Amino acid sequence: MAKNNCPMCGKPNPEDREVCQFCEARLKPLVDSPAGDEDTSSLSPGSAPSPMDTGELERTLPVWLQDARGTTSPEEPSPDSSQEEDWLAKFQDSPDSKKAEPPPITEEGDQDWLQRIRALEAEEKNSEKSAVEKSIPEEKAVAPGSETVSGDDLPDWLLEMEGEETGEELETPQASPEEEAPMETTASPFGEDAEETSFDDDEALDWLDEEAGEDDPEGAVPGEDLPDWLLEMKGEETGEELETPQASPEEEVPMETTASPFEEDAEETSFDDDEALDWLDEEAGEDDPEGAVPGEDLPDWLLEMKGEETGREPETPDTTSVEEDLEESASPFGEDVAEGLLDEETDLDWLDEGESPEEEMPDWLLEEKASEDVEHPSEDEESVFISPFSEEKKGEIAGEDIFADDLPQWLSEASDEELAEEGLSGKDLDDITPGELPGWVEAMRPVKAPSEEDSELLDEEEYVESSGPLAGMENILPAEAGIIKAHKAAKQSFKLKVAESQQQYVNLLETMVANEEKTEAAPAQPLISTQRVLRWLIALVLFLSIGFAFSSTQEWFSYPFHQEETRSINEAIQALPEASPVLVAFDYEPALSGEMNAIAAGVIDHLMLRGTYLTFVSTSPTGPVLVENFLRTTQAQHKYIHGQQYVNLGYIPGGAAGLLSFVVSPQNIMPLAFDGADAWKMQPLQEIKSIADFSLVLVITDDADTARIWVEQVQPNLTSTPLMMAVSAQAEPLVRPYYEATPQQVAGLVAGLPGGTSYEQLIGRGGLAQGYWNAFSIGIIAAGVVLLISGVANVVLSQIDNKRKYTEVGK
Amino acid sequence: MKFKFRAPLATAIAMSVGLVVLSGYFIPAAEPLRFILLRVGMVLAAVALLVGVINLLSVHIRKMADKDSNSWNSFILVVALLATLGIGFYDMFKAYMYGNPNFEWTNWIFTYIQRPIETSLMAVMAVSLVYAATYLLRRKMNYLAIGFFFIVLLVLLGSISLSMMNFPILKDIRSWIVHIPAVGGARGLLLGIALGTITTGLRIIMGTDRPYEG
Amino acid sequence: MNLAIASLADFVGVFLGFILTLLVFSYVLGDNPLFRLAAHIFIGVSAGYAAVITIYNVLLPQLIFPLIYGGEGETYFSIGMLIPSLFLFAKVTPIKRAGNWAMAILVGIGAAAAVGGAITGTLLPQTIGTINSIEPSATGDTTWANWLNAGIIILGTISTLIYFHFGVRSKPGRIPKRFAFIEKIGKIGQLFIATTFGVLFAGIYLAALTALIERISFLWNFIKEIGLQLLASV
Repeated sequence: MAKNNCPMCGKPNPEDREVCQFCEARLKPLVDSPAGDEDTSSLSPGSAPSPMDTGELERTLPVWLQDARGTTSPEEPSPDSSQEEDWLAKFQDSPDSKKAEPPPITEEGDQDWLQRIRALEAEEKNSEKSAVEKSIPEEKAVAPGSETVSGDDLPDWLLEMEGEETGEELETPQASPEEEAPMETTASPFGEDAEETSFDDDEALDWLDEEAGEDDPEGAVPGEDLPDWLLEMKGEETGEELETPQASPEEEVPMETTASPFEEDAEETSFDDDEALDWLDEEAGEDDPEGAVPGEDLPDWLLEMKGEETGREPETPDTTSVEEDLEESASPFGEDVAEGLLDEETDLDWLDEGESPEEEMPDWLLEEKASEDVEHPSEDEESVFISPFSEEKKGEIAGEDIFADDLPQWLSEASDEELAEEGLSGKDLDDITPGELPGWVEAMRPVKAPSEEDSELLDEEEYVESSGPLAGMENILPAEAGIIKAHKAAKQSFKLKVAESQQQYVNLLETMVANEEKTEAAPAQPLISTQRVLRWLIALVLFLSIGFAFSSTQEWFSYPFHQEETRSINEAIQALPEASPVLVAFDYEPALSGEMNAIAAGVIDHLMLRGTYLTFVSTSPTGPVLVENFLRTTQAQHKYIHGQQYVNLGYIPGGAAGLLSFVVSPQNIMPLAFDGADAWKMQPLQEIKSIADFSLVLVITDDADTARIWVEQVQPNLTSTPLMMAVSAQAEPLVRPYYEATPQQVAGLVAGLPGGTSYEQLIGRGGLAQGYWNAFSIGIIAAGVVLLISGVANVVLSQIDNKRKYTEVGK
Repeated sequence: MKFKFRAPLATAIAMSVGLVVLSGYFIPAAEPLRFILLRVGMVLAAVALLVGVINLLSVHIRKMADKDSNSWNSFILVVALLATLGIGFYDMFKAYMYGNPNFEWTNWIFTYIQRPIETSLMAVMAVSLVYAATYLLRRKMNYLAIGFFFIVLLVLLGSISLSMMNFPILKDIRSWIVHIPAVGGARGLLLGIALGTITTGLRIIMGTDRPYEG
Repeated sequence: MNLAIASLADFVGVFLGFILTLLVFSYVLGDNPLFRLAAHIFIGVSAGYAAVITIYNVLLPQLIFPLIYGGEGETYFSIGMLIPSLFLFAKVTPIKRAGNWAMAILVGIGAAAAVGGAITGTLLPQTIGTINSIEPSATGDTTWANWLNAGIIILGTISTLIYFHFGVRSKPGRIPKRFAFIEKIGKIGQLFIATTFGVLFAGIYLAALTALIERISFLWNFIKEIGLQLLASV
């Protein structure tokens, strides 16, 4: 006796049984499987997976793959499956919710302006004829909703756009003024009121219900109800041939209102997280009236989704069941997905086949239809359904992949790639043999058994139109509202699926971040600790050694031998003629005035000895007073007089920019001296037009950055004038490359106290630097000794530590 | 996607001003306009310094109202700042009214208050630096730390020479370190700083970075 | 070097300086309120002093006086500078954004000056200087020692620059990593950076040591000239 394996439990059943005797799952599909079933049946879940123990391998899987396996496993439904079932259940609830939340945009005020717009448009387009009437002569073009609208209330740009689009290419049908509601509802998603309305999840979707529930029951989805961009696209494709039936002026309004997605307000609408997804819903609403997309064209992930939602695994990719899927699940992905799939002419074959009579509808669909029949009792008779996918237009639309560009690249690629790689499409599944799949892959593959719900809708093929002028015809797109009803897109759960291990990482990270934010109180140090004692010892050593140096008159240390860079600056100053204008920048902070005064003393002394005219500037606010202090404390013997032998220009603000402006035109930037006198009145300075006119530029600075700014801004502007520097020991390493460069950017350098001391030696005059030299040398020796002792101590301590660790490990 | 473009006027100003000043380095014809802008920039920098001082003052006046231990320090700071400002304005008044621009009292504050404190802070740093160096090898003993430690020691000890005992080799080593490898490394650092400056500056000139927004 | 006390004000000043120096030196014993007192006095005084100098030395002669006493052109120019200056003050008011455009002028000028200076003052000359260091005609020294030293300088420059190159090649499934070649050169760069920082550290210590010497010298002179006299009088 032939056995029939249950798709759910896999147990054998007698061939004549329709439901499984063990689990009561349906064994026979309600419709014949499409071609290819024979081949793909080998992949049915009833067949036992190859006996491979892949449990060990699963641990090595990435978490997301483990999750994927978990969700697809029929034994362990994912926690989200309930939500997905709810998602389906909401289709049943949607009519109620629609009633509960009427569209906020249907107001009388809107009707008035829409009527005015319509009237205006009617005048403009009165003379044009629609060719659609010719192409579909038997169909009477009656727009479902229309009213007279004046264009006064529309923005100019919209009217222009309308004029261009409709006037040139299309002529929209006219409708009777009584039918206003659909027009308003098509306007609603982007109408002013809707724009002002905050887009809550439910509210944002109300218009979808209305559009489907009020437009579509009337059966007419004429060209004018399509969005402008779609009409335009059609117009482009068909050229002059495509014309919509001539209609009354009032019918132009839907076109205008559907053009509203491009209105400014709609663009300005702020998109919150939930709102950001509204476009999905909108597009779904636009799609669904135009018909569902055949399941063959659905990407695999949609099929998987369906499988997960129903909790059942289909044996084969069921074309007809997928059609229903599309109505329900494809709609959230909008027309980009749905219409983008209408690539080939064959895609539209289902239109000829798919019919779903009322009798075989699910209960909730019947309820919905009944409720809408009550709302619109006479529409069936009045409206004529003009399918946008009728034979005349089908080729035009399906001939090209008109929405291919609208598809995000990743989506189109993903769908193509997934189809190609995973081989889950109808054709590709044929080529896969079950033996080639590891057990765990086989167990997680998305397969689905036909459900009762599916099977009822699978009988759409037998649908016979029961109303309207097409009554009695078979294999046409059903006009009933229930069939092509657009439903509110289900709220998708966007909760992140997190594995336990991931959650642990998250918790750990949260703890770490939280700890980072806490300001830990500094541990209270004991009054006497090793570190403090060490610090005191170091301070004591330094203080005592330096104090000892001052107390002693003996010189234990010989002065440093002058370096080449020191000799360069000495030679340059020596070569200056008397009363040469020399620019001296006092660019150091008071903190280092002790060192800088000692370094600069010899150089300034030399300049004064040469009788040069000194011009002092500074890019630091403390510079001007440092100059005066310096001259008073170290150069008092020269008795230089301000204004006669030197001028203190003061402070140049602005850093590099200020310095650059001074370089270009010093007289304009610093017109007055620090004492308020005219700085440039003196003879040596009268000839100074730019900084290059000085005989020498000397920068005295403690900061490598300040030195760099002087080199960068000043040196390129000096032609033959040398730039020299007296810098602190801390700035020397970063200034030296400018001196060592070939060609030199800094022509001479006095660096640190050794430099200052050697310069004083060069000019043969004792000064501040030489006075510090003994203490300086002793301070260095003290530091060196401390460092040597600490270095040795650290090495010894680390050895002891290592030994201790070894012994502890040994124990 | 929503593109939020903040402070378009400020960005346009920064970009245009920056381009003019930058072009002045390479195009002599842009020099006059660049000079005007540089002068404006110099004055604005001075105003910005004043704004910073006002901000410091307002922050510490607010802190004075707090009842914590730092409010006393803020009070001291505010008093010191206002006193210096007051004395400075008095000196300015004297300079312009009586032609006595020696800023006697302002210089007194600088000489006997600001300079001693600043120099002392720097002096204390000598103790802190030696202390830090002694702990260097205790905290981390790898080849870089050891190298750093010995470079410091060599440069320090190579800077001096005892009259009775001279170590020319130490000076030579010090001289070689300072003139050769240190110059190589410093030049690399300078080029890196220049590249970083160029990158940051160009980002501002191109409007990518807008530090003036606030 | 003596304390140069010429007046009572100088005497008070020197005494104040002595006290303040001791307050700051108390930091050696650990952070304490006396040290913080001195630090806050310093911040207040230095900010006030900078404000005074800025007003006196820059704003009055550059902005205010031309407005009052300047010719027509100077007046208009000063007005032109005054407007953004006033807007800059908005930065310390609740309407901070009103000062954005004035701040933009400052930032734009500063950025351009920094870029131009870096290119013409450091990038090009230092690159040329590095190249010329191995050019005998540029240096005039053709000894092997010079060649060796020039090579070390070039190696140090390049390896230091490369050390700060953090570009990586990322391959899917692998940890992004620098090129092996760059990684090795970067290690050499680390040596040069350690050397440069060692020299810098020593330089900072020498600068601080000189400041310490100056302060101890001041204290020594104060004790010698005033302290002992005060003790004797007491």
